[in-house]
Amino acid sequence: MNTTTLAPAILPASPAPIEIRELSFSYGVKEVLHRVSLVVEAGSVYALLGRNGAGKSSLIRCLLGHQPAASGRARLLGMDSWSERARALARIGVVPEEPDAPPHLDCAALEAFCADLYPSWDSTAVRRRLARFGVPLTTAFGELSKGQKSQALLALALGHSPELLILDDPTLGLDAVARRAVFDELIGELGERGTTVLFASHDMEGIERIADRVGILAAGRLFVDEPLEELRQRFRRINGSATLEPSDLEVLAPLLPQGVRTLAWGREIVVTQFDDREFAPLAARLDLAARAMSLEEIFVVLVGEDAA
Amino acid sequence: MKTVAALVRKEIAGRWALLLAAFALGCVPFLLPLLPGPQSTAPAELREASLWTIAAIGSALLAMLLGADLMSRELAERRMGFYFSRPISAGALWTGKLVAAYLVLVAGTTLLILPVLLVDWRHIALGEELRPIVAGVFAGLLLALLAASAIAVLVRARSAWLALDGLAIALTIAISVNTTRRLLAGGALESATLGLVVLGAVAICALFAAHRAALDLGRTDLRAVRRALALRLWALLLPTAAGFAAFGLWVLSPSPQDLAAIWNAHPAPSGPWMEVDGPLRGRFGLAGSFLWQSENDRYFRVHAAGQQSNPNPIVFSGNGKVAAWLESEGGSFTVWTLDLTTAGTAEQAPVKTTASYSARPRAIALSPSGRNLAANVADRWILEDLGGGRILASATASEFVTGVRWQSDDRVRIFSLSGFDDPVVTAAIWDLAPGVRSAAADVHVELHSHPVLKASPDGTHALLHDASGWSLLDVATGARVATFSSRNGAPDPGIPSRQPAFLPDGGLITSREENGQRHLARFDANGGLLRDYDLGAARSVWAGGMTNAHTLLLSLVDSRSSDAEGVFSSRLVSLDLDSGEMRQLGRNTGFPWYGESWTEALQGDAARWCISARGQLLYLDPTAGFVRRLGPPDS
Repeated sequence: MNTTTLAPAILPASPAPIEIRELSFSYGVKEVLHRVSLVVEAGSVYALLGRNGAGKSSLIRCLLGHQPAASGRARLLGMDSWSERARALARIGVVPEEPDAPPHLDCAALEAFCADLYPSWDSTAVRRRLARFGVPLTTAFGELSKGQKSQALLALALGHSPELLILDDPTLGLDAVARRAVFDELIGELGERGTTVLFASHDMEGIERIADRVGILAAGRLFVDEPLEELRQRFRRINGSATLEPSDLEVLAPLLPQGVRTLAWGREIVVTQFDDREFAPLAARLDLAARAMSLEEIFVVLVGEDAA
Repeated sequence: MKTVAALVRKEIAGRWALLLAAFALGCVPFLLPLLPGPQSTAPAELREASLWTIAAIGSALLAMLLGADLMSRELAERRMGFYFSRPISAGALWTGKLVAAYLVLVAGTTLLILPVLLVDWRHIALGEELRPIVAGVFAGLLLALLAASAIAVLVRARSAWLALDGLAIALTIAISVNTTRRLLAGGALESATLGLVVLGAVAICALFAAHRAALDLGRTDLRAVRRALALRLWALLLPTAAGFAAFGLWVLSPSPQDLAAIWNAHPAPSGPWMEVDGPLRGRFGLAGSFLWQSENDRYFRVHAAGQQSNPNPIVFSGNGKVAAWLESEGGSFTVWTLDLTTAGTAEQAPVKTTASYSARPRAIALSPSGRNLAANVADRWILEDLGGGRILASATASEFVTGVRWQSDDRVRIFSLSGFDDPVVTAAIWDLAPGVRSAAADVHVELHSHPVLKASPDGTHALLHDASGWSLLDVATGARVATFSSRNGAPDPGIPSRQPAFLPDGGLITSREENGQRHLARFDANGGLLRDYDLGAARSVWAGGMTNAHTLLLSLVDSRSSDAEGVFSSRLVSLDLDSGEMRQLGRNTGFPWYGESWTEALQGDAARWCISARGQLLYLDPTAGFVRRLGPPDS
């Protein structure tokens, strides 16, 4: 009996679903994005944070090929996002910040339209999602509530089982119930299929539940780009039973303190490079306590009014 | 393709209301007969009359609405991202949207006319000739749709460059309208049509390509789309409009050398100038009429009115120094003159005279000095002083004019026939001069059949023909001074060459056939026989001018029928009237002037011009023979 031995195939490494290199963008003379670079690995959820006007939507528009970058490049699933936009988007789902579907079409018509665009469209799944969201099929899109519009667009974005999901603050302006429904759906999608997600949002609480990595934009620059867990590990609030003095900053210098904040109940110092081994002797000597911070607290520290 | 089809379906889905509105508007003609007021028109006619107005207005409105909504609205409302966030290329998006809007527009236009068409189809003419009109309408609708879309994008972007866009639109329209108007005024209907078709086609292609490129480059950004659209649109349309203007200039500025063939040539009685006309080479059916001087190729193009229907559109003064012609202007016909001493030079200045008529004159004639003009307008003869702008004389005359001969600068003799509907036709010869219709030469002769009246070159004699034959009339006395027997020239009205004709010196010739030989008889001014010439075998003979006092040009036609190209085989010969010697000069070549009654017989250099069967204008050089001067080159 002849047997064939198959040589192990050497497969090229799959490109990262999102790869942005040195991307800059301007509105006229005003530079909105300055040499932004980031990579979203397959299967991860990347939270893109920033204050209003930080450049999140501009970055996503460049990434989706809606507008050309002044310099640098953006690639989606290994394809150039400007010149190969249409091809790349066949494998990507997008939910915009502002619901932009034709207002005169109802969800059934929108679903039918999208079904013609994607070979792997699953009408049953879309209609099931819409039903779960409570979005009526026969109401014109323009007559739906803001929450229903976002939910409808999310259902449409997931209709072709995308490899990559790009969400531009879809929960902005939604009430708590609608927000929760969106995140629940996302969690379900992630759990079932491990879809890669880029999620620009102001909803820190919601995104903290699903994000693997966080990027923070401010004034057009990406100055944080790291795993959420590491970010949470290195940020701590330091409180002491005794009143903390500015001179204590020198003691905490190895932990990169941000400054002393005076609160109603006392003072606290936020450190940005927390290390348990460094902190333990100090905590004992100065009677200090370290408290973990939420993503929202970290974000406020980094880009808030007091941020340096 | 599937994407485009999906887009088309989606776009049409939102526009049913427009189609219903179009159908409702199409039913409006049924309501018109119900309106109160006098109804002198039958309901079906009223419906048909209102149908096309409603269809034109309705489809234009529909085109504007759909065009304005094509992509500018979604761009302005920031909803274009819906498409660009999906696997839809800019080309597919644009094509799908345009096809859908155009289908709705065509369906809407059809619905506008359908109700009346279904009811009154028997009354409404829908022949084959409607096809190009229908094609033009559908192309026009597409153009309107695209133009409305472009304007909507430019306006909705609220760019600071909008004023420049407006200027470019105005410039494109102004150039196109002005060029079309000039082409139509110059009689270049085919060129104007062709130019407009090309301009329209280029405009449609430019608008389509510019929109597509704008959507590809600007995508969801209205201002970027506007910028890309405007740059491409004006880069394509302005040069095209300029090209159309250049084409118009080229079409309307031909030279005599551009004449593909010569239809007519009319040398001035004296001087070097002549009028030539014919079809122009490569100018899409346009014909040209020129005042031309062969010696130095100086020329002046005349925009004569009705040059193909009027056999003699340009007239010369007897001294050959002034030319006059008619130009139509807003329904009236105005006489223009040109001083031929300046023609073809930088100083030339055609003069629009005060002589203007509401109806096309049947004839105009310049006095020997070119100062006065006689015109036959409707049932009236008018004698005008062109320099002073005064009417010198006017007389009612409804006769058929056969000849005009100037007796002096302010006295013109009219030769005419009247009463063609009566058993007896009257030949009338009378003078028009300041004062009243002159009786000095008021001759009336009754002619009973085959009436013909010819004027001698100086107008002192006339040739008359009726059932009794030909006779020579002394105009001053009204007496018949000679008759021509069948021996001297058997009357045969069907063959003009057999008719007696005046020679430039006032003498007469007749021809006849004897024993298979063609004979020519020459008479003096009073009808006395001078000599008989044997021309040899010839079917018929045509007399030309006299190149000198004793040389007459003749065209001898040999064949009974024409060849495939309509040419009768003929020989052109010179006849020495003193010696009777005949010399062949060429074949299938004829004399260029026409209207032998109108035009005085030519002599000297003016008699040396001929036209070949191929449409070449030939000059009979005393030493070199025929030399081509205009028309198609020798093969």
